[in-house]
Amino acid sequence: MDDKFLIAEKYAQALFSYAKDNNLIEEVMSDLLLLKEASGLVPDFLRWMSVPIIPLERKVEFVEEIKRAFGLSDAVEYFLRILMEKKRIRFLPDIVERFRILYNTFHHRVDVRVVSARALSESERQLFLHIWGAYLKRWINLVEEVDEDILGGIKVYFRGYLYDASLKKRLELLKEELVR
Amino acid sequence: MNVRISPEEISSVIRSRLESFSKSYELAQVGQVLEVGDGIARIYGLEDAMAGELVFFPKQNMYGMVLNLEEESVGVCLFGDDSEVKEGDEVRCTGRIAEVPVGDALIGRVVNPLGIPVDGKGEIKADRFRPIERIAPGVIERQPVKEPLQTGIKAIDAMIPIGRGQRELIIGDRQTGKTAIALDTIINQKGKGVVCVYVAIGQKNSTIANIVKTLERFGAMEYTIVVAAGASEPAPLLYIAPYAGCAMAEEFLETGRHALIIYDDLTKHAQAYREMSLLLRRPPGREAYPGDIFYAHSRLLERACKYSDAKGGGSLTALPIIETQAGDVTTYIPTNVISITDGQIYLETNLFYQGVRPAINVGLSVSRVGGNAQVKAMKQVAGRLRLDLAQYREMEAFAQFGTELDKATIAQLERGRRLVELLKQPQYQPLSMPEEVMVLYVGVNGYLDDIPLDRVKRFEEEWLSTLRSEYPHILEEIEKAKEISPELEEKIKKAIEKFKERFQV
Repeated sequence: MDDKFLIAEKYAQALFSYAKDNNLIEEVMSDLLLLKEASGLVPDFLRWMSVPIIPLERKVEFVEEIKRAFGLSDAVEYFLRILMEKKRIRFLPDIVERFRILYNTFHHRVDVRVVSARALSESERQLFLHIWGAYLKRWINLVEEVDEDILGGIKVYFRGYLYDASLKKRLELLKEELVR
Repeated sequence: MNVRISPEEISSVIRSRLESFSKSYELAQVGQVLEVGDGIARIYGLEDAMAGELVFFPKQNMYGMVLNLEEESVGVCLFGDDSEVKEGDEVRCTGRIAEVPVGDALIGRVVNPLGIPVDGKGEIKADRFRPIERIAPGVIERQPVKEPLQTGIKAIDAMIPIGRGQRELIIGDRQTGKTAIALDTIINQKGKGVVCVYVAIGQKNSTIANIVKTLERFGAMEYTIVVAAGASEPAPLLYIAPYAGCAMAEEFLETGRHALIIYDDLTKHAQAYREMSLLLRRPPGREAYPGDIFYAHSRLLERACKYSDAKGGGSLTALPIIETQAGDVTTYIPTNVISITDGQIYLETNLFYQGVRPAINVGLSVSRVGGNAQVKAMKQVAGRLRLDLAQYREMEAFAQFGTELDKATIAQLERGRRLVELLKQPQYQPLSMPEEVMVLYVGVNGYLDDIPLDRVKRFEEEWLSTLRSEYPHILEEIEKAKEISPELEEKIKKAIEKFKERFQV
């Protein structure tokens, strides 16, 4: 299970450095997202590509068909071929995820997930982007989520951290304090 | 006393607490569960996690402990049911290491290794917590063992004396009376100001219930804490149980009091740690135990100590128990623990079935430091006892060839047989130090030589009851002076002679 991340990291880094040197970052990113979406919609897509009984030639033909259908770049096509040759195609979703992180870092962007008790208003959203953008010194890719269980306030997930300023957490902390 | 608290008073206290409450948010590192099974979870993220840190699973309201720090993930052992944890679940760092409640509130209670009561007697209102792991006290903070810890068992107190702050291993096969010695020792601490902690690791819950009942029957729960990690608990709980028990006992050590801790048993602890380590994919070593199994036991037993007077003079005595297979002490865990401890009490199945109970093999049992702590009165009788028994064992092997023996050898054999008989002691009947001295005195001074072997037991019983009823001053004097002066010896001799005249064989 551990290897999954190491493998994904290595392939993503290789692809990213190739794309960067050839000015293909945007193209590769959009192609990869397309592929990830396709593999999500058709779960058998990756499974079929990783079945060893199917000859490599058939798979290569299939990749060429995909390339035509989706209009993929040459770089991504070659990358898929390498993954199949090395029998790593099943790691594609993880590789895309790692590539996206590298892409975000390159563009000074960061994924931030915000959970609130009710949907954020436009002014709240702008205020959030302003304050957190300044705090993280990055552009923010905001993902919003509504969870009434937190009662009020917000929870912010960013770069492996949780900033919990929800009313529920505050009440828990208060309870701990009073019990002590 | 009738003290009333007005509602305003409570409100104002709460109000002041609220005013001082400043935490409005919490910042924690979060990770996701990658895989889970057999009480172990692998977590992705948690880059700042520390080894031994507690992590929290909010969805399951459960804690785990970080054990493995790897390049892309951390390995966590779970303190609860792993079937509730699913892939992708959130895990948070807490910044704390595992700790347990400590203090007087725990005395008389049965708790699990997390300090949660399991005896149905309600919540424990502990005001203090201690981390389960800590570095053992250093050289400067210690002083040599100097006070005895009486077990109430004649054979042990005379020949394998244990001092306060010592680590004495109890080792033997199954059903040889290891736990019985530990329980007798606890029962004998009544009124001696020693707080006892009994850590049950991987035992049947019914056995633990029996032990608690026995301790209650003898009024020993009044000064005892039982840490119960039964066989049904997951391996991580069994693994932390001795450390948790030690933290509870250390609270008494730190406050200048005396504590006794029993780890019953470390074989199961090692097995639990092996299970965890293999699941965490740590490389297996000898007998598939992980490489740091020695450290797991040495850092635990090193925490037993006698503090210097500057540190309050408290003590923590440890009695680890190890179960051997077919008497083999050369396997990995027994040799490890033998080398860590300050001596061992070796119990044998053969002796047990010969009726020698406690089934202590006096030849193989030693106490490396306890001799310094032995009271002088005991030394006066025990020195000769050890010598007589050693000679007896040598002669006994020789006499089995059926050779004709001279008078002196026969006398030595007879003395030896009586001493072995005298050292037998029923369970749950610990003796006080003066009583032990007086019983052994009659043995080593030859007063039993003319008593038939099968009457020795009755002689001992009647001698003890005569002492208690007619000569309490002798017992008191030994208790007070801790030695047998020439004057006192005269009195003792007279008392024995008088008693022997009355004793009907």
